[in-house]
Amino acid sequence: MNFILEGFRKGVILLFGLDSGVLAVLKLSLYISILATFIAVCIGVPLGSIIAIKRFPLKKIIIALINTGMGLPPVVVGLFAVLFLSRNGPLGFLQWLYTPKGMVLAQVIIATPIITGLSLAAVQSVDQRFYQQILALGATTRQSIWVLLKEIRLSVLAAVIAGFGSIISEVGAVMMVGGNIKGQTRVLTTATVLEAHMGNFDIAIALGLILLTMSFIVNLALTFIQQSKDRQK
Amino acid sequence: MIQKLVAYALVFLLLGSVFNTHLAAQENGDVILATTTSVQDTGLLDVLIDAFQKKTGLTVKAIAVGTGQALQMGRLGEADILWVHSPTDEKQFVEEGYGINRTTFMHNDFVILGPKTDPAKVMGMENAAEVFKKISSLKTLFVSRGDNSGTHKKEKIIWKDAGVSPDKNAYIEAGQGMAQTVAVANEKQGYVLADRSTYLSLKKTIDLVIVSEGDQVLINSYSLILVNPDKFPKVNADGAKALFNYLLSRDSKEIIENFGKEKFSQQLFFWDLKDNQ
Amino acid sequence: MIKIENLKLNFSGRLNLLVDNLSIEGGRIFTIIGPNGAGKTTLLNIIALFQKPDNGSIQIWGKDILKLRDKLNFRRNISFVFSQPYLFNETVYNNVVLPLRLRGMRDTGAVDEMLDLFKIGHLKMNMAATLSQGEKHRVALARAFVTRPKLILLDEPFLSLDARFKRLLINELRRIIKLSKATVIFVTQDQFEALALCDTMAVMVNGKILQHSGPEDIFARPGSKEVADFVGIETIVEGLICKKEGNLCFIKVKDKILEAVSEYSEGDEVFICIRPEDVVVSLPDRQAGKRMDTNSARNHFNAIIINIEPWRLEYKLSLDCGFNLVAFVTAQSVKNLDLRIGREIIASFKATAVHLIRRGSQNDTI
Repeated sequence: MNFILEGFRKGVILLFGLDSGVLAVLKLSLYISILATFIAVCIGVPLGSIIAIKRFPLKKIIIALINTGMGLPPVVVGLFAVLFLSRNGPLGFLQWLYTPKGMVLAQVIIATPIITGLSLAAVQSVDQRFYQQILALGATTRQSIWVLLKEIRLSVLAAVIAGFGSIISEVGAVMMVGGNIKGQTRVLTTATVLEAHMGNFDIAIALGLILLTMSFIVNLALTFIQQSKDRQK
Repeated sequence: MIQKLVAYALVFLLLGSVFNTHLAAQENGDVILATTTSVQDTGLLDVLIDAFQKKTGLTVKAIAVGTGQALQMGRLGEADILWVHSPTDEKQFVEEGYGINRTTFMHNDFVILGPKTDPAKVMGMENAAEVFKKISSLKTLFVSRGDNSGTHKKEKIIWKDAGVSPDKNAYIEAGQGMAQTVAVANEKQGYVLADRSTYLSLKKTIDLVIVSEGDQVLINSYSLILVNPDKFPKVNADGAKALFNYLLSRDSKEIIENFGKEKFSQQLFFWDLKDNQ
Repeated sequence: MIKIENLKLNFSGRLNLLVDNLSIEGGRIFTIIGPNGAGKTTLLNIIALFQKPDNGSIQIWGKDILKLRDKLNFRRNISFVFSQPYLFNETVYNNVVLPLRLRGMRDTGAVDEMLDLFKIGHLKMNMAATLSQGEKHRVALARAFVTRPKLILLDEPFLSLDARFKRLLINELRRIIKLSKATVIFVTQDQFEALALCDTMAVMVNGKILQHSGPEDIFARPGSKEVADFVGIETIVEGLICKKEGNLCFIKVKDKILEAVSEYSEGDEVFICIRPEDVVVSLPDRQAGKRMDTNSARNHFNAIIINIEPWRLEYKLSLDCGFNLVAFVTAQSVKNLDLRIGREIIASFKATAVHLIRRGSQNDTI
């Protein structure tokens, strides 16, 4: 019990004392996960929309694959990313292993299926006639997806929130691909593990609380955007 | 519409700065050091690496994993230099041609921890193997790292010396790092083999005490090994050599010998190299 | 001019769409009526390029649209109005201006013009979600017309409206369509909607067009049993309101005058609908004079029985009283009154039994 209270106290001190080590770790966590979410959205939202709208052979199998991808264990993604990015691996020439670039790559792989799958479901839930109505107004395919997404922006933002949530909190992939190197690839989650490893449970709890708080703030911002669209109704 | 453009511009600026500060392409001077968690957990690793990076401007990627994984990385040429503590495996590693210039340069020691009540009545015994024998025969709980780390390998050596296997029902393999394993032992009030530095840093928060220390076998020797650049051309041989030399230098010796003196009021690590090396 | 040839569509054996030869005049309203599942919507979908037929050709403006490479250009010259308004969660203005924006065109007043035309100018900045059902349909229509399309497809667009709003809207729509000179294909299950909005009419049942002619023809002389089953066998004839006294309208049908109760005005062109069960047949009275003196029904006509046939549990009489009239009588009455083909009788019905559908007005500026 003492641990938890100590953790709170330490957390407040670390945050407001602007401890440089903690700040560095916090900044990197945000940068990596926000960038990865952004890339995953650029890929996943249009991809999910197109799959939902178009007809093509093996469509159901592809959707099943995406749904499976939504549950990819981050640590497995990390493992495969390490194998590919290692010196002997096919992508070794990139030299992305143990760098933030590699970590972003791994997190993009984790978040993209989630965002694709949720966008897919959101678009599929729209009446097909509604999509035809947009076409009937003279829209190109690209325009009609854009109009459609604006209509279901609540659901699309939910997908973004889910995607961000899945990677800001994961530790398996960033640990394996990043290596938890101080000042280079250490993020909040891996730092928490390390502190626990070292027996500094109070600091570990503090970091955990900082992670939760930061995640809450980002989600608060996203939720405000999402719900503000709703207020217009 | 303009609001959208401004928003996008801001986002791109933000992300662009990320690329510049954190994601800037690292120079090829990176040295990949594969080491063990016990070196990292004491905090010694960070201090030495910081000093080295400051002095030379090179970047070290210190990857702290289990001894087994570190040696495996060496075998694949995925690391440039190893800093491990498992002498038998290290020797085999060198014999097989994967490593060169193996140098044992420092040590600390292990201690056997146990509950205050000492159910196996081993308090004060000096022979580690005898301690283990008694723990096993009285079927008292023993908690192991269980992860093929240097600590775990040391533990297995002691069991072998003792000539017994631990009692199946009184043996837990935690599969975790040192601090967590000690925490498990503390929770379940069992015996555990731990390195002294970890014990010292956890002392205030646990009920366990040292029941045995000082046996020769409990000495934990650390060595540096250069991954053989002839076998693995992709290895950063120059960088590795620079780090190697630094870690074996007088500066390094000073840092190592003084480490922890303030915090724990005792020396944690001992230098093993003769001065002419 | 639209020419559809040899159009076939198979839905895994379930619905066959089979349109051998169909020509639709440009600049006119072509109305298709038929029961649910007849294939009317499918036909519209094919014309709008939402569905592909198995084979066939559709010539519009000189090209076979089914073989078009540039589908977008074609789509941008037509409009499709669905049975649901499908408005976006935006203001009315943003909804109506969207087709212009999609084409990269600026709004130089077209939107305001449309909003005024459909009488929703005052709702311009309201959010679409706050409108009533009728208002939403008007917005959808304004949006469909704003680009001045040459072809307009209406798929049961009045489905969710109640009768009064429907009537108002249809009348306004007819006027706007005539002003725009667009070709319109209008599809519905509701015969009265169809009568109110058509130049030519076709009946579609089970994927096939069974009859294609003027509306009077279809209702008065259904070409087949299926058509008859669908349209019913009411009397439907064209007329013109030539006088109005209070609520009472005097309607000229061929050379006879009918009396009906309606809010329509003098000069209105109408369809008159009379249900067979509302027609009473009686034998000519030697003292016949103005029946109205002794009878509350205001319409009495001398008629000759052209045909008698059994119809479900009764008998159907086809009468000629200067215009075609259909009446039901019981078998008992046929026997008692000795009704035969060629017999002269009096056909009567109340003014309130006459159902009027406005077809337009001589006052319409066309």
